Amino acid sequence: MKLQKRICLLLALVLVVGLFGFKALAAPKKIQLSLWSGYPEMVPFYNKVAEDYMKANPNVQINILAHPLREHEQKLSAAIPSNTAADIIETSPYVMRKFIDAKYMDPNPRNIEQWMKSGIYDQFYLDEVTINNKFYGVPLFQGRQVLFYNVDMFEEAGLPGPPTTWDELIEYAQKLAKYDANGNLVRAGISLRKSGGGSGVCEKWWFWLYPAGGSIITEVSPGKYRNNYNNEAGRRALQLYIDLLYKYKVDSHKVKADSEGFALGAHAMFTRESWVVGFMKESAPNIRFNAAPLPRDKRAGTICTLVNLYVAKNSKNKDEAWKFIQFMMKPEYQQFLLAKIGWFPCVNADYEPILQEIPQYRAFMELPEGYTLYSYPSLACYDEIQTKLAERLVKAFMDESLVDNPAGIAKVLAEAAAETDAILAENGVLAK
Amino acid sequence: MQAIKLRNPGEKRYNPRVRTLIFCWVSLLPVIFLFGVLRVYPMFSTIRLSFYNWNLIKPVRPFVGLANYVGIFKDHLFLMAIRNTTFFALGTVLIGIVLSLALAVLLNKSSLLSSFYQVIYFLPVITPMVPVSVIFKWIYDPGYGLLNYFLSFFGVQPVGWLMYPNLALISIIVMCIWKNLGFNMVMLLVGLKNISRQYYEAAEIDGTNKWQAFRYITLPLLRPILMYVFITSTIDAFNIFTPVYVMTTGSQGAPGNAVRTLVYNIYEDGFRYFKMGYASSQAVVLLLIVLTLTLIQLKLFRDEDAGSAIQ
Repeated sequence: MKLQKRICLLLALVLVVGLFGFKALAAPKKIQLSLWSGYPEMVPFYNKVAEDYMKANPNVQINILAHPLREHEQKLSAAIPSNTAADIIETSPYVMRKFIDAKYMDPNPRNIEQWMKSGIYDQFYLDEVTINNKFYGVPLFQGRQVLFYNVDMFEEAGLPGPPTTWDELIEYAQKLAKYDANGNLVRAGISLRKSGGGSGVCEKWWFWLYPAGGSIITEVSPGKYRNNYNNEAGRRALQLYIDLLYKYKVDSHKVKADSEGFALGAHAMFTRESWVVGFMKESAPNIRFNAAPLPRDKRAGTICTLVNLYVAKNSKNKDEAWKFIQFMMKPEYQQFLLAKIGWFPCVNADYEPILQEIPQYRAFMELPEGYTLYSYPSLACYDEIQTKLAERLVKAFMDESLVDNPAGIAKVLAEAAAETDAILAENGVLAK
Repeated sequence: MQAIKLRNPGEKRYNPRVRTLIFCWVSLLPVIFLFGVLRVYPMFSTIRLSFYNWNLIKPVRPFVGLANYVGIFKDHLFLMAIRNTTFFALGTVLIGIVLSLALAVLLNKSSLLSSFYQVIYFLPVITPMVPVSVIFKWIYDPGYGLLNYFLSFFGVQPVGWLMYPNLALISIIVMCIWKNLGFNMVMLLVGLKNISRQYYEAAEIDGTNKWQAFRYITLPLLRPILMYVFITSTIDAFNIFTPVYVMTTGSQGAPGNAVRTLVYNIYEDGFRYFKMGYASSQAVVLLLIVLTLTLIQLKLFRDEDAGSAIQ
C-alpha cells in the first residue's frame, strides 16, 4: 500500500516537472514589459508602437492595460508603494509628484536625460519634468484648452470670428443666444462648466481666472503655496460667470452643456481639449466648427497638462522599458498619435500635413504672441483643493443674488480661500 | 485463508457524534477562514486605521489617537453627508415601505394580472444600479429628459432636477424608491400570503371593516417581515453610493455637496485624497450609526411583539 502511494506521488512529481520543463523548453523566456495607461483611447496608439517594437525585438513581449483615469490613479496609489506597478506608467506629473517625494520613483537615467536634452523637446517640457535638478519621466502628450465655436451660428449672427477678449466674448454670446416665446434660453451663447462632482468645475473656472490675473494657488517661495483667487482676479472671474448666467442670460443650467450640447447645437461656444475634434467628427459630422485660443483679459494663456511616461522603480527590465519609450517618441508614431488619437504630442516633429487636414488643431499648436502656457502645480493635495473649491463654485453659480453683489462674491471667495489655505497648511506647504 | 484485519494499537476510535462535529468544523473551516479574511479582519483593520494618520502614499503613518474623530465632527462636509444620508434614509425607507406595503396589499390576489404586475414591479430590482442611474440621469435631463417632456404637456416649465441642490437629493430618493419597491413588495407579499384566511373570516363575522382588519390582523402578523424589510432597507439606505457617484459625474451631473452621502464622503477622502485613516474613522461612525439604528428597530419591534402578545 505504502509502495503504491509512493509510486503515485513520484508519477505526479514527474508529470508536474515534465510539464513545466516542457513549457520552459518550448518557449524561450521573453522579456516582459507592462504599460499602464489612464486613457483608454490611447490603446490603439500603444498597440501600434508595441507591435512594431516586438517585430523589431522578438524577445520582448509588451502588455498594455488601460483604465479610466480615476481608477488608474487609484490603482497607482496602491501599486506604486507596494512595488507592484507596471514597468511603464503613464500619468501626469502632478499625480506622480507625491510618489517622487516619497522616494517611490527614481529619476531618469543619465542617457535618457541627455537624449531628452538633444532638441526633441522644447524647454517648457523639460522644466515641467525637472525636480531638484533631475528629470522624472518623459513627456508623451498634452492637453490644452481652447475655445470651440460653431461656425454656422457665428455666420448667422454676423460675427467676424471668434472672440479674442472678454468684452467680445460677452457681446458675441449675447448675439448668439436664442430664447423661446416665454423668454427661456433655448440656445446658449456660451456653455460654461457649472455643475457636476469632482474637480472639473474648478479647473474650467481656472481658465477664466488665469486671464484675469489670478490662479488657484501660487508658489510664493520654493515649495510653499498660497491661494491666488481671493483677490481682484478671482472676483472678476466669478463675476464673469454670474453675469453670463444671470445678467446677460446667455447660459443656463437647463441647457445641455459641454461636448454633448455642442454636438446637439445647444450652444455656440465652450472650452475643451483636442479630443472634441474627434468626438465631433463621429457624433455630429454636419456641424461646422472651429477652435480658437481662449480670449484674453489682463493677460492671455492656456493650461498645458502633460501626460508623461515613467519607468517604475521595481521594474525588472528598466533598460528595455526606457528603450521602448524612446522608440515610441519617433516622429512617425507621434504623427499617428495626433492624427488618429487626437492628443497633442510633446515631441518636436513635422505636424503640418496633419494641421492642414484638421485645421481645428491649429489653435492648439500655434499660440498667439504673448500667450503663455501654465500647468498644474506638482502638489499631492492639489486635487483636494480643486475638488473642494469646485463644490463651493457650483453653489455660487446657482446663486442669482450674486449679480451686482461684490460683497457676496468676495464672501464666497474668502471662505473658499480659507479652506484652500487650510488644506495647504495640513500638507505643510502653506506659505507664511 | 481469511485475512484478519487488526486495528493498530495507536488508532483511536471516535464516537459518531465527535466525528460529525469534526466533519462539520472541517467543512466550515474554509468558509470561516474566508469570512475572517474578507470581513472580520478588514473591519478590525478599519477600526485600527481610524486611530492613525494613515495616508496611502506616505511612508510615515503616525498614531493620532482620537484626532480623526475630532476632525470629522468639525468637518462641514462630513456633517453635511450625515444630514443628507439621514434625509435619504428617512425618505427611501419610510416612503418606500409604505408604497411597497400598499402594492403588496393590492397585488395579494391569485390572478394572472396580479402576477404580471408583480413581475413588472420586480424588474427594476434585477437591473444593475449603474445603468439605472445613467438612464435616470437622462430622464432628469433639463433639456432632453423624458420627465420634463412629460410635464411640458401640463404647462410645467423645464426643471433642472439634478442641478438644483434642493431637488437633486429628492430626485435620487425617487429613483431609489422605484428601484427597490419590487423587492420590499415581494417580501411583504410573502408575509401576506402566509396570513391565514381564517383570521379575516372570523373578523368579518365580528363585523370589522377592511381598515380594522388591516390594522389589527394584517399589520401585527406582518411584523416579522416588516422588521426584516425595515432593517435591511435602513442598512441599504445608509450605504448608498452608486447612484450618487454616477449622477454627480459629468458636466451636467448633480452638485457633489447637494447629494453628498456618507459613503460618497468616505470614498472621496479615502480613494481620492488617500486619507485612509480619516476615511476609516468615518466608516466606524457609519458602522455605529447603522448598528444603533438596527438595535433600536429590533428593540421596538420586539417590544411591540411583547405588547401584542399581552393584548
